[in-house]
Amino acid sequence: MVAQKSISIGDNVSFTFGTSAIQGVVIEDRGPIGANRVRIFRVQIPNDPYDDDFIEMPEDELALASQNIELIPDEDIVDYLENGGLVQILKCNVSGGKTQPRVWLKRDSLGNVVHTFIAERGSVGGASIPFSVLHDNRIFTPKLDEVLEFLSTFGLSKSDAKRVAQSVGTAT
Amino acid sequence: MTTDWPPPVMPSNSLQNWNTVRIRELDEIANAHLQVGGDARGRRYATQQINHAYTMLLSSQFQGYCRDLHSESIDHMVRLVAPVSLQAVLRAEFTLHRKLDRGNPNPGNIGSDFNRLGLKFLDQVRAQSRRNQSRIEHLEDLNRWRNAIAHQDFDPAFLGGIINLTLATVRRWRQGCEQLAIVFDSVMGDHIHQLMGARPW
Repeated sequence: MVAQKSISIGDNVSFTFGTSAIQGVVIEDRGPIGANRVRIFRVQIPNDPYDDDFIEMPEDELALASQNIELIPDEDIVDYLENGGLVQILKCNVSGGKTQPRVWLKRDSLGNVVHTFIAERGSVGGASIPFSVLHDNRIFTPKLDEVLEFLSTFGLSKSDAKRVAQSVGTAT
Repeated sequence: MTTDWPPPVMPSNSLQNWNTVRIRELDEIANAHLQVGGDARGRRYATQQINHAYTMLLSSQFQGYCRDLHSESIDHMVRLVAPVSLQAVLRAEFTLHRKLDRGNPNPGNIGSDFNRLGLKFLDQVRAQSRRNQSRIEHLEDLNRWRNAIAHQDFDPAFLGGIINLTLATVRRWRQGCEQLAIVFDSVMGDHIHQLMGARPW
């Protein structure tokens, strides 16, 4: 029998939370302070695109997990972007400035497509979000080409990118 | 170290860590103070800086202890909860926005975090010994000074009318923390025993 490697900071781990198995990253070793001197770890749980959650878990309830970066089929990407995803992403860059936010798409713990601003978590993307391209939650027509170029960074074909843009709509 | 409260036979892991690792680190800075001896010009300034460092370290170590005890208490309480699928949910709830993760170990923050485990924590601490009220006040003073040092904002109105910190004062605060560490351990041990039907430590 091969003993499981002990858990340490930076490891990807999984555990049962309510009715779901979820994954997180160990960010702090609290030491052997639990019952029967079990080690307690602080775990960061991704909640993309929102702030992460945190939990303290005993070592005996954690399992090492591999970080799976799954490929996302184009149709799932289009579906997400058409149904609110693109507008939500584009709203994240309305102030400009030197450091432009970059965005990736990934799957959440239940397999839904979501976006993230953290490179290591992303499956596809990584381009800067175009600056101030929305008007009344629609694409500002003079910026349409910029948005189509941005959509192509998720691996979408020109026709798929246009389909997403048409679904969101344009405004002059 | 003397105490008017009998220490538990088997203290929590957190208190054992306080009594060994954390106390040793506090002793190191106390020894540094002793080594800055003599009458040379500048000694008073040097010892003042060490007193400030000692204060910061004392507050941070006590924060670490309180945070450890909080986590250890949660682990003992949650392990006995059924169904098992609820355990991680409770762990997340008990530590959500925990003040001791970010804030000073002042009585307000300590009370707020431990009260969520099902007791009026500072009321229980006061009930253990009438001396504990003055220890709680020392803890309040210690953390006012911690903030003053961290922000370099020494307003005598908030610091008991003084701006120079003496070693005797820091030692008094440390004694208060050492006593409170034992009392906190005892209060939580009793509480978990009453709540769960088994002594956690």
